[in-house]
Amino acid sequence: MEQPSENNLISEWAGLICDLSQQGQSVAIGVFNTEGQLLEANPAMCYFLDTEPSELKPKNLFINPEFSTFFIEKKEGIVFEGLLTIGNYNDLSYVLSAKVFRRNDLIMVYAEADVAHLFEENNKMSTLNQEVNNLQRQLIKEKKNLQNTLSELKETQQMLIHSEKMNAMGKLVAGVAHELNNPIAFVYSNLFSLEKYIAEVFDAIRQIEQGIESVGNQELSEIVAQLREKNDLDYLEEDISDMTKESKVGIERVKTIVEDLRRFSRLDESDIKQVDLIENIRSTESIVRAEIAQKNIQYQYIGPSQLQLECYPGQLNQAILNVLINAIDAVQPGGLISLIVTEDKDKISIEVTDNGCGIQEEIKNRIFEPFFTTKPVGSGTGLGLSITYKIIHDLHKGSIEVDSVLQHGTKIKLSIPKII
Amino acid sequence: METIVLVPLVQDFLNNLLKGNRTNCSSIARQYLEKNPSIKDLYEEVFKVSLYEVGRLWETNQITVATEHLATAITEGILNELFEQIITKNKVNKKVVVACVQNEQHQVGIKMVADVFEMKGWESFFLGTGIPTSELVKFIHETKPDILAISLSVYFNFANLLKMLEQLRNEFPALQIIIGGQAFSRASEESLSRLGNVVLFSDLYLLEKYIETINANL
Repeated sequence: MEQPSENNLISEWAGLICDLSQQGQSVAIGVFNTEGQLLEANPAMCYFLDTEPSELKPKNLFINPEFSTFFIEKKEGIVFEGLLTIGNYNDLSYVLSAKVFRRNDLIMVYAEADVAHLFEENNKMSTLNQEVNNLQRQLIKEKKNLQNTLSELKETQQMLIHSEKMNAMGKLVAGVAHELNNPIAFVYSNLFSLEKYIAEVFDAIRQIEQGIESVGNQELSEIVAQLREKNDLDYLEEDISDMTKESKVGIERVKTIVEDLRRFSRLDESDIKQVDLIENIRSTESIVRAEIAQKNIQYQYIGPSQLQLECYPGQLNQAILNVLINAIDAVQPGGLISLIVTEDKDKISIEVTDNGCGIQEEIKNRIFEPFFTTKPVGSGTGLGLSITYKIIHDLHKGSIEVDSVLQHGTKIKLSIPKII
Repeated sequence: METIVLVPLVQDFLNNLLKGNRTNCSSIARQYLEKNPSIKDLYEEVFKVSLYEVGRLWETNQITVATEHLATAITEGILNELFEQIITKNKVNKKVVVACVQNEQHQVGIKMVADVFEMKGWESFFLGTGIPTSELVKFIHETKPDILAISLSVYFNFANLLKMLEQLRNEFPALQIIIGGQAFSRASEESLSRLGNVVLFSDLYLLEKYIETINANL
């Protein structure tokens, strides 16, 4: 028996297929008269022409080719084959693969969506969309990275400005100290001479008095005694001596302060240098001595009296000062602050302990952030500890440990290697 | 036919996904975050549930692949909207490469995984779908990640995963590999046992715990 071919098999279902495709969404079929009036249409054609099967009044029309072109040549059979665009020039238009037939005065339009093509395009669009999405994600990330870099740069800029200010202040202090050194030197030296000369003057007076006494002239002796009493020479001698002693003490102090200021600013020592750390610490203490006294703080230093160290002295002073200032701010009047220096085999530690308010747990990991401050507006820049961190961590390759208990106090330990 | 009952907000999100209404979906996600600011919860409770349901609707012949693509694209768009607030400044100096199994086209899940890593301060690298394993190997050589995370959504690709794992194991015997995805909810014990030395995560919460443990030991 002869096997029917596939075509024959399908065509046996022709009636059913015709019925089904008329009802489907992908094949649009419509019959028009010569005036372009829609006489009958399946649901798909109604959808594309934007009308109801019961109304048949299309809101959309054939845009390309226009309906009139189907009648340019009067003939029977196929009058158009190709892509047909249906729409209204405003909204989305539909492009269908169409065949248009003419029979007498009737036009039959058979138009189908090229589904294989649509699916393929849809897939390509999805892939494209995924790529755009991934690209957008990458861009967001890079934008965020740039934002972070920008804010880091801004912070660095602020720190540079601040350190520039500190630098300028250091120069000013060093300049003033230098200018004061000369007058202090001659006041200091003059005071010694003055003390000696005055002693000599009084000695001479006494010798004159003794000379007159030895002559035995009663009248002259009385005049001398009267002059001594009238001019209060006994009192003057004693007082002048006290005054020069006090002035000497005073000028010694001024000398020390100027020396401390000079050492603290260390303008001449911005490079790494071997210095006595303890002498440096002493000069740093002197900067805050007034505040310690004003708050009646019990301050003690525990450690060696001398310790040679290779470091950046000016910067290290700044780091220690910042920690000391925080300790002073943290304690109540009458509080305790201690500064302990210890030496290990390969490192030196400077530990500042106070019995102040302590650091809250939730901000402990932020205290080294630039501009982070708990001090009232205007009284702290929030740069102190961040600068200390940079000086200890970055410059001296050291480390900072923070140990703090709320309401009990804080211990900040700066450790720097002996060899940087 | 089986019906799934979803909470109203998720149902609303799903309906808008299927309709292709991106704006509504985005505002529903934001509404959710106003009440519960956890992006992880949003991913697990809204996005994952909705997209699994989208998958089920396709499997049960109720929606087209095009609709599924649309739903996925919208969700990925919202992930991008949220991505900026996910990237943290507190980096932990750890790297993760996230990837899909070769031929796997579903990338939303692995993006959520990358986001959880990002939230925890990791640097994540995502190459997109359709990357051949050889390219992935090259990329891992370049970036030297601490972890490689692989996603498998369609169980059909399971054999590809095994092949990929074998290739990766040969190249990087010490690399920590973690896997996850919808496909594993259907994998049998027997097939899971063939995966070898990988860690399987069933959701983002377990993944987060895992990352936290690593971060704590840094």
